[in-house]
Amino acid sequence: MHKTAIKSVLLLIMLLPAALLGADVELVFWNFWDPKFILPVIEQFEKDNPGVKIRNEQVNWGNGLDKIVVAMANGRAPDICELGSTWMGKFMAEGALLDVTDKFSDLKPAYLMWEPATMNGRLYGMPWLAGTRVMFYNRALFKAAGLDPERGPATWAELLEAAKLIHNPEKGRYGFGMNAGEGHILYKKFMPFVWGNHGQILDENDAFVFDSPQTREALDFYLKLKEYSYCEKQDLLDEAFKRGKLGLAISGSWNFARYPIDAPELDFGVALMPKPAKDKGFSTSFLGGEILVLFKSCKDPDAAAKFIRYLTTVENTLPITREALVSFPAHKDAYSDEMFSRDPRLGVFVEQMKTAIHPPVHRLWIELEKIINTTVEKAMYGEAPDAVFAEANREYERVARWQSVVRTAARGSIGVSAVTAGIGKSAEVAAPAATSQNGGSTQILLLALIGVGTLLNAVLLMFLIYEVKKKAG
Amino acid sequence: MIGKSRRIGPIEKSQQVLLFLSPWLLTFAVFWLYPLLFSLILSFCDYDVFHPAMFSFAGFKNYWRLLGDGDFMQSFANTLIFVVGTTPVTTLLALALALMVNNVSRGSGIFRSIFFLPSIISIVVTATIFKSMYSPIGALNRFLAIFGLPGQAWLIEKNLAMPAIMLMNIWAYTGYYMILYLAALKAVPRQLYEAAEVDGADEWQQFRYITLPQIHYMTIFILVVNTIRSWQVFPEVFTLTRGGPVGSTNTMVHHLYETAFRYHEMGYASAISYVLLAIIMAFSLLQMYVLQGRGRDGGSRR
Repeated sequence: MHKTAIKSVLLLIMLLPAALLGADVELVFWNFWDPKFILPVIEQFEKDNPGVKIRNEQVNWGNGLDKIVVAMANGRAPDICELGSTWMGKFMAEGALLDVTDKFSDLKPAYLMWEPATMNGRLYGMPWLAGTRVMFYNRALFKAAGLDPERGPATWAELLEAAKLIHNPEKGRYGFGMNAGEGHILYKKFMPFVWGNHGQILDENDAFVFDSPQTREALDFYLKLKEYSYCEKQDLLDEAFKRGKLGLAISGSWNFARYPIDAPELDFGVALMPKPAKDKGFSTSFLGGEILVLFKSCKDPDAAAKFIRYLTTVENTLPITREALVSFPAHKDAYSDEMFSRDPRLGVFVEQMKTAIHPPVHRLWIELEKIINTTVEKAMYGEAPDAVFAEANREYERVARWQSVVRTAARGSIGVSAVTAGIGKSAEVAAPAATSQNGGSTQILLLALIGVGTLLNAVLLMFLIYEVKKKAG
Repeated sequence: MIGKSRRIGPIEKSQQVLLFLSPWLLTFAVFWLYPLLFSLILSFCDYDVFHPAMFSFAGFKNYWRLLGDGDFMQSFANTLIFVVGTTPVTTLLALALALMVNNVSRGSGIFRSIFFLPSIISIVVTATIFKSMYSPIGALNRFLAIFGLPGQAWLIEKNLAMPAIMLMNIWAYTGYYMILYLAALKAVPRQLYEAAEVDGADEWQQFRYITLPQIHYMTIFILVVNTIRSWQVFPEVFTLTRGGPVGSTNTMVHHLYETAFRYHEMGYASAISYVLLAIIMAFSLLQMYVLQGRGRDGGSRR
């Protein structure tokens, strides 16, 4: 009697994990959002799709990319992951993501932002969110300076003039808010001036053409603007703007979630980014967003794709974006929402998004980003343009040479790369076999390492035993 | 003692010791020894996390590359400035505060808590507060304005960013070392001071010939630990400046972090970490050698 009870309990304990594991597919979903926005969507999805479980895990912007990369290196990548669109170039080129061309291609007409999810004609992710930056201006300061408060600066000259008129540091008023002291995001603020002036980072053949008369002209203007600027980090610029100390600043829609609550009396307008001149160039801004991807190790790509299709619908994404207002859904239908008509200023973002440019989707983007940031930052701190552009070119040469060495080695050993991934199935099929072979040698190396570790440990133990014996004896 | 060791044989006892040590030994091996060895091997390899299969032996290439890497050299110089600028100040300030708190007749508990407070706040939180204090329209400039001093963009100016981080670091850690000093001061026997007073020693002589030698070992400990920590400065830099402006606050660990997690060159990053390890070890050994030697010569006659 007693024994059977114990036995049945033991049996239950033994079977419990099996029951938990066996029944459902559990997909791990990494994202950067407050779980309170994501969990209700997941709950509803799980209700509609019995047998599929989604485990939500939040990562943060501070170290999210590190975590993803480390997890990938350890073979513990999540099944579904949210990636910043500027990271996509690297992840796609390195062959880390699952080709999802046949899973999402039919959605193309309904969504924006396909460019950062596409490489060599193949699709490696699903656009989720999109966002851009526009020109914020303080209407009260505009009025005080004798400027028209109903419209923002349309050209570079008007921007400079407005900043000049408002700038008065003695009275605690500054013309323009310029990002400084955070080198890693300068390109987002500077590149719109280059792009609008028909300048580029890479041309159609992927040659580095950053050093051009167009870019130099933009830099020249940017440095002139700096004379009438308050130089700080983004969050402190937003703070200064909120306190009515800044005339103009390039910022994002997240301020609409804060300014009306924190500073209801702040009278501000937003405008499209200024263009170089009335008859020259065009208004453009930085376009970025979030892409949902499946890693190659995804346990169930079909179920994951189903979840992504569910999550990216307007009904499920709009509530998330409405709360934080950091970015907007990539689904085009979202823009007919009353949120955009209620505040026409949000409509400016929609308008800007049409002309906004996404940075090059390139395997070297992370390195290119640094080159551009360094160039702008050094120029801002007084180095001559000739010197900084010369250094940018040198740096690009170095990076490209270094990477081509790595790439050649990579192609030789695992047979998958940006180029071969584009060729199609044959490379895809060939890759796993080659990988497992090389994986074998890595494993041997790891085993050897563990062996050495154990040996050293044993030595340490013997030493300890010896010491203890000596003391005792 | 002798009786006990007869009852329990030496081998049995060592087994017991090992049994009690085993949880520590195990974690030591898994979380310390293994990564240490692994990164040593990594530092001689090319390893891009995107291509784990490409793991290849590179010899001393990573170390050679360090010599020609301007960013690395700059980060080394920056870190050296940081160490030289913070460690002595923090130590002296901690000693001064400890002496004061120790001699306060009333409310020493309150002072102790106040000075210790910064060290229980997460350094990231402290850095975030300082970030807004250092802004051109922040608290520090408004404080300076009271005295008619011109404001500065503390974290934006190339020459001010590093001193600003150093100042914050000193503020954040002095309290902790003060508590350590206070503990050492409390342990100095009162009779020594009484005897010195009878002999007619003045306050300075008491401090020089009793207090300092008595807290000598604590001073070594604080200096060594503080130096090690300063070489490894990271969260302050990451939160306040991310190495900017124009690399003027890029410290070694921050450079290492960028190399590993932004550019994914794990082998090269491991080489940096081993160079850092060598520097720290050399510094610590030097400090211990010099200070301990002096402690024996002019030190406590116990």
